[in-house]
Amino acid sequence: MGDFGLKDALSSITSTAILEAIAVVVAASLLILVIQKLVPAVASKLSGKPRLYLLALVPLLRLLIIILTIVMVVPILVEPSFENMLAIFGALGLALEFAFKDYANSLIAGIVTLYEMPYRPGDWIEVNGYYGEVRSIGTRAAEIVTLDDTVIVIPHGLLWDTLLANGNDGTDNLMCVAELYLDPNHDVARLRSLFRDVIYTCPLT
Amino acid sequence: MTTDTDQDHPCLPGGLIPLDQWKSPETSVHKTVRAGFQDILEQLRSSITPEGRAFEKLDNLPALSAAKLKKFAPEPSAEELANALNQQLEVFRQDGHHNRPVNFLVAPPFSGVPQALVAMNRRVIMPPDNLLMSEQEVSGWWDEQLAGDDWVLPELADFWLRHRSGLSLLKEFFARVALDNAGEGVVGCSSWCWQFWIQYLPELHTGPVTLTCLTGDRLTQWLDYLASGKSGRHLTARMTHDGLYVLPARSKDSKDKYSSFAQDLANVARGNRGVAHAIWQRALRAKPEEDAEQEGAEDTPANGPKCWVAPLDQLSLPSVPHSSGRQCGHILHALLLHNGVSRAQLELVTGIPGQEISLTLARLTRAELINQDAQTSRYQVTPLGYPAARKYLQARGYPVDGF
Repeated sequence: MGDFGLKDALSSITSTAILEAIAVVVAASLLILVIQKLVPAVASKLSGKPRLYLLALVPLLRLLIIILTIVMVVPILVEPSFENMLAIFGALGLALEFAFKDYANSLIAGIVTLYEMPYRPGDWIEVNGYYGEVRSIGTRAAEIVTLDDTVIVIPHGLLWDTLLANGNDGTDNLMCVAELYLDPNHDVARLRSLFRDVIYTCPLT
Repeated sequence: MTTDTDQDHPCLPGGLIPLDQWKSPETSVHKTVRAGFQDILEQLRSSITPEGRAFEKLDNLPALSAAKLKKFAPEPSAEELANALNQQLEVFRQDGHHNRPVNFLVAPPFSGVPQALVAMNRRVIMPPDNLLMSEQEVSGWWDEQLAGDDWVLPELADFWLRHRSGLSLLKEFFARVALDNAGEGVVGCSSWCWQFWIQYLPELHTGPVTLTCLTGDRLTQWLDYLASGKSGRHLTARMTHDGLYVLPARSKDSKDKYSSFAQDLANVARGNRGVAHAIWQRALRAKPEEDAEQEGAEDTPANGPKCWVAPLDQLSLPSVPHSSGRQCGHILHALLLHNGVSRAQLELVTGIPGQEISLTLARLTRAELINQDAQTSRYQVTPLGYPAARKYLQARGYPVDGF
C-alpha cells in the first residue's frame, strides 16, 4: 500500500474512458468560456444591483461547473469505490500540499471571496499599494485595472494576510480626494462654504 | 395623519399629510418580483434598441376621440385643487399641527400643486430672470418680494440652479424662513428640489406637508370624480379583456366584480396623480371586441357614459435610451431637480458641452421622455416618461426623491 492503492485505481483506465473524460472537460471549459463572455456582456446592459449580482455570479458558476466536472470525470476514469476515491483524493491532496500549495491557497481564498465579497467587479480597491477598479474575479485571482490602464492580477490568497482597502464596497458612491494649496491667511469659513457649494452642485454627487 | 375634511374634497383624496408620513402604495411580493424582472427585461430590451422606445399601445382597439377623452378624463381643475388646499391648510393651522407663518407644500412632479397655488387668491412671487444673483442683489430682491404678507411661491424649483452661483436665492430665502422673517405665505416645492435642499440644509425644519399618496381606492374615487364632473353622471369603465369594472367607484352594496387595474395603476405611478392620470388617458378605449361590448350593455349599472380600459400590460411606456455615457442621467436629473430648464441652463448645471446636450435632448425627446414647452422653451420630463426616468436615475445611484 506504498502508493495508497493509486496504482490499482488507475490501472482500470481505458482509452475510451480518457476520451470521454476529455470530452466532458472540453464541454465544461466551453461552458465556462461562454459564461465568462455572456454574463458580463448581459450585465453591462443592466444597472444597479442586478448588474453587480450578475457579475458576482460568474466565479460562482465557474466553481460550480468545475466541481460538477470533477464529480462527473472521476467515475468515468475509475470505479467509484471507497478505496479508489480515498486513493485519488489522497494523492490529489498530497499533490496540492507539496506542488500547488499556493495555488490551492488562492483557490480556497477564491471560494471565501464568493460569500464574504471583500470586492466585487466595479469596486475600487487598493492592495499592496496598487489601486484600481476590479475588472474580473477568477477562481484563483482577481484582475484590477489601475488609473494608468495597467492590469494587475491579485491572487485571492493575499486575502489571508494583506490589508485590503475598498473605496466603494459595492455601492455607487466613491469618495474622491483632491489636494489643494491655500493661502495661509485664507478665510476658513468662506472657503469651507465655497467647497461645500462646489461639492453639492457637482452633477456627480 | 389625515384631516377631518377628507370627504369634502374629492379632488384631493386623502387630503394633506405631514411629509414624513407619506408612504408609497402597498403591493404584494409577487407583483414586486414581477416588476423587478420586467425592469431587467426592459433594460436589456433598451440596449438592443438603443434609441429607446416611445409610448406604444399594444392592442388594436380604437382609442377615445379627443372630445370624449376630455369628457371622460379631463385635466384636474387648478381652482378646485386650490380651494381644497386652502381649506386643508386652514385645518392644519386650526388643529395646531402647523403654526409657522410659511407653509411648505412638497409634492412630486405633475401633482398640479404649482398651478393650484397660482390659482389661489394670493400675490404670486415669480422667479427673477437672472438666477445667478450675488448675495447683495439677492437680499434686496427678497426684501422687495416679501414686503407684504399673503404671498404664494408656486414652485421653489424655479428659483435656483444647481451651480455654485445659482444657490444664493434659495439660501437667502431659507435663512429668512428659518427666522420667521419672510412674512406669511405658501410655498410649493417639487419633491426633487426638496430632496436636494434638505440635504444641503439638514438643520432646516419647516414642517412641510404633502398630498396623500393615491392608493387604488383613492385613485378610483379621484378618476370617478374627474369623469363625473359637474353633471354627476358616473362614467362606467370596464376592462377590455375580461369586462371587470374599473369605474364607477365601488359602492358598499355593489355586487359587480372589480378589476385590480386601479391598484396596479397606483403602483406603476407610485401614487403620483399626474402620472396616473396620464397613463389613464392612454388606457381608455372606445370599444373592445364586439361580444364584450354586448355583454357590457347588459351589466351596466346606470345609463351613464361608457368606455373601456386596456390592461396595463397592453401599454408600453417610454423607456430611457441605452447609453454608455452619463449624459442621459445628468440631463434627466437636472430636469427633475429644476422642474424643467432651458438648454442654456442645462449646459450650466450639468457641465456637458452644448453639442452633446442637443444630441441627448433629441434622443430623449424622440423617446417621449421629455418635451419642450412651446412658450418657455424649457425642457421637462413628461408624465408618461417619469416612471422610467426615476427608475433609471435610482439604478445609477443618483439621489432621487422620496416619492
